[in-house]
Amino acid sequence: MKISQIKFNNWRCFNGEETISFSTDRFKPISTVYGTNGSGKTTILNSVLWSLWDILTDDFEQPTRLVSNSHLASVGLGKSAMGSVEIKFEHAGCKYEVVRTYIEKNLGGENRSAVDSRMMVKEIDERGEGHDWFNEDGFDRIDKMFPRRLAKYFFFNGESFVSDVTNQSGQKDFGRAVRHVLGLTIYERALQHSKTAKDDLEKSIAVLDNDKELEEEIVKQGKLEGNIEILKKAVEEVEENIEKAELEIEKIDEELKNFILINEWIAKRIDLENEIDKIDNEIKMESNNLMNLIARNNACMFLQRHAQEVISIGDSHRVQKHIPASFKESFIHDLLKSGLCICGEPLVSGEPRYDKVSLRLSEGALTDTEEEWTNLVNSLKKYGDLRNDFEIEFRRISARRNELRSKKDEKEYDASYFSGKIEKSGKNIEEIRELEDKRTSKKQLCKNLLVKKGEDSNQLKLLEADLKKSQAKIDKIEPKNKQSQLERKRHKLLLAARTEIEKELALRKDALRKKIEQSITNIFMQLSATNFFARLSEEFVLTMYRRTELGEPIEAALGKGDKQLSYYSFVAALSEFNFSASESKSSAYESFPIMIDAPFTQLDGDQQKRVISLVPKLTHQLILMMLESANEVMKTPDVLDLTPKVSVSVLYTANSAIPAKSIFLPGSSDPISYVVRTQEREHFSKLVQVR
Amino acid sequence: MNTEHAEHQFSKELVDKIVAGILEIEQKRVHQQNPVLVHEDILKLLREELKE
Repeated sequence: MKISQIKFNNWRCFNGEETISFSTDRFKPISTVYGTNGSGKTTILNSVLWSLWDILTDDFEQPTRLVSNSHLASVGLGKSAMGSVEIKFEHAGCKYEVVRTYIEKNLGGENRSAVDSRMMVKEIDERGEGHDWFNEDGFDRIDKMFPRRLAKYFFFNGESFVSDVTNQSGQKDFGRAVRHVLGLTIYERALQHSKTAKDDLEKSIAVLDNDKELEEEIVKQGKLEGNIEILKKAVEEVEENIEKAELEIEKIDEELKNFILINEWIAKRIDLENEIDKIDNEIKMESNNLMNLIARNNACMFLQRHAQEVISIGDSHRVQKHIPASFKESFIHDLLKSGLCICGEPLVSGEPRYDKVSLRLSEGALTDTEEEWTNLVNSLKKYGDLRNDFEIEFRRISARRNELRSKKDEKEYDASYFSGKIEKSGKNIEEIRELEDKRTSKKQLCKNLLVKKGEDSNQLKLLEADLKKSQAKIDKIEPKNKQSQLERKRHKLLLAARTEIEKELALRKDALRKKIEQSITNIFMQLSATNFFARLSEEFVLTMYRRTELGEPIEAALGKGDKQLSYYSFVAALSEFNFSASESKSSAYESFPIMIDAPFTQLDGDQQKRVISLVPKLTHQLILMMLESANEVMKTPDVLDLTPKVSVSVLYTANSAIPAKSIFLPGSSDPISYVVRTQEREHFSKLVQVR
Repeated sequence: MNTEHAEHQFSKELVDKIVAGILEIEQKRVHQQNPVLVHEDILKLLREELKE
């Protein structure tokens, strides 16, 4: 399955119509959606889960309010409005359009009620023929392509995924989903249903023979099975309570750690504050440098502005004189020497006319003026050069000052983080005592629960032994007439078939478990750069191990990042299994797309790079939704080499703290401008193909 | 499928046929919302294979 487009129509925060497209290119499988917090990334994830499988994630707030607020308000009190999501995808050579609509009624103010919800699946097959399925049939159709129970393990939030799949019920669900992908659940269901068929045959024998003893034994067996079921549930419940109590103890321990860590935090804050002071001084110094530079270059700043004007005025004056200065000077010299003016009057030294013409000589002696003029222009040009130097220096100091300011912001953020922690943990001895008491009582609760679990488990074993005996007794009872003998024969045949199914299930389970373990280990080693290896339990619950110096395997203590990577490896291993199975047509399913909201939150830079380099090789489509600030990893050359073309959508809200601007997206040499619309919580999205 | 059938009187072929039949029933029902009747299909399969 590859999703090509999602179209929103007044659904949640997407007012009006908005479309987001994704890359379906096999060799360029990554699509990225950047968006600020609250811009609708989680909404996109939920729109897919909702429209295809009627699922919404736990962190999706107000899940019953699906029609966009402003659209519902605009229709008026007592009227209904519709929101919808349309998803286009490709699967096994066919094209699909799934439209799911939701109608709500405006009840005034914040109140509303759901009126209707419908679904339609449109299929265009390889021959171009169309088929439509509606509601339940539509769900069945989708379920055949991508089972509902798998959806949340391929479309998930990276931040909450690990905690969702590692709690007890999460582990069970995940294990079941894994067994489903691997094709094991069909054997499990076959065993479950053939057991019911076997019970029916036994009842039939009892009825045909009118065998009271058999009937009683069957009733006894039914009761035993009922009690076993109750006890199993009780044991599960106790296990869940133990897990809860252990988690609470962990939390208390974390709180208690605060009291130990407070001195460390205070020291860290002092260090940070000292660093901030130092940076502040540097900022002041650079500001002074800047002021001095400006003061020093005041004249050149002024002159630069006027130089061109002065030069052009001078040039035009010079041009207007027409007669060359040197010629003019020699002409007046010759005039004075000849003693006759051009008007015909005599020129005698000491007379006013002679002095007047002599004055023209000094005015007309433009050789000096020309020289002075050239000097002036040259000095003005020099000021131009000085101005360039000034600008370079100005930019350098400004950049340095900005760098220092951001560094200061970071340090201040860190310092306020520690201040918050110090403030929160500013508790007194009384509180420590309270925590200790709570811890002791939780510990006691754990002990009690473990005792109960032991008792229940023992009881369970006894009941299971009784059940076995009862079954043996039933199996031994000889049927009395021809009809019942035939039923017994069928009963025996069914038991023989069940034994074979059990054997086959065990063999397949074992082989697949080893295969997936190996695959998880390979992927994890590439993602985390550690030598930890994966082990899967009977129920396909994952545990990572490492080897001691003596080569003994022991459970590995994983950091948050590695824990997340271990489950990414698990999903990637399943995807790889299905990917290769779909390539060789040996799977019932095509490769599944993987869509992750906030994929990198727990991971460091190197881990992020490894994820983005490796996972696209294990699936036909990878859709990542992240903050714009997380796009650094997408820009690194090795990632770009491995992801030669990236589809990018950008989401922004009017609420965004970032003003309208341009951003550089990975691989793009030109900035992509985005628009923030004025209406509250409206979005702009754009698909750009880069490189 | 490797069938050891020393403990019962049925041929390997027959047991394999029932196993394949049950799995086929499950496969057909895999996407249906209400799998309650699957065991009845299994009984039907057995009764067809072992008639009076």
